[in-house]
Amino acid sequence: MKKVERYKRRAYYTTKPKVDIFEDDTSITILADLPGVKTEDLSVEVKDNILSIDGKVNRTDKKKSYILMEIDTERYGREFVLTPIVDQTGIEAELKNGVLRITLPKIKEATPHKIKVGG
Amino acid sequence: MAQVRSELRDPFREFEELRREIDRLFDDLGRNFLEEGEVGLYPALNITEDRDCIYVEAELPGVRPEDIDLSINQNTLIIEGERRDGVEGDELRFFRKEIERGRFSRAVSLPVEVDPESADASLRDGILYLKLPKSDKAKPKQIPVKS
Repeated sequence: MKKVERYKRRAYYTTKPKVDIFEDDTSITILADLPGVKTEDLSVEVKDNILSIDGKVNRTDKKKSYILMEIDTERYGREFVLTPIVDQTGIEAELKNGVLRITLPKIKEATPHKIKVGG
Repeated sequence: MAQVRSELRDPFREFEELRREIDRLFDDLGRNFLEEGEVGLYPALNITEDRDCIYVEAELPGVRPEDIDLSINQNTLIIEGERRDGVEGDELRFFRKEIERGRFSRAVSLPVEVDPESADASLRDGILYLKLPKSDKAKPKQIPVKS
């Protein structure tokens, strides 16, 4: 029971952002919707092969009187396990228009390369 | 043998366990469907007010300001537009595609009439902020009390 309560509380405070994840030959890209999060309130970090996103939403309307409330997210959080093909030293992140774009380059061994055929 | 006997002593225990499992399952489903409600391309809104204005916030991540159309007709606010930050390409392989894009439209009734001429809209960090001054006749009137 206690565990459920704790989980519920965490689920209320932290919302899982919607993401798109795709790859091309040289990198993997994660797009995450984080409306209301400013760059200074966002942390993207890698630890023990886990990439985590944690962003605080800047709520300006807290003290006003509500007519309708559908947005109550205070925090966005989600974690991803990185596969060994990701070059963890080259990860880049950019936040624009409430969308976070994380680019995870692949290690050289995982990117396709042409082999010259001698004639 | 001892095992069998202890189960016989409480034949309803398994039902009780099953009931709890089902409760837990519904609990999870409820949370996913209701609390993290999927709104898709129907922007979520917060509407607040003070004495002079109505304030509207709409979640529109990835939408450019030039792709948003706002209109106010008496006390109906219509937010329309298109999210076009999609990524496409034959060489791309998708693992997850949770973000919805395309056209959206939402109409909402405001509790009072607002003055569309002096409305103010700005888009910051994927949220559209609207400040809609209430029309003069909708504002509360102070009645001076004579002594």
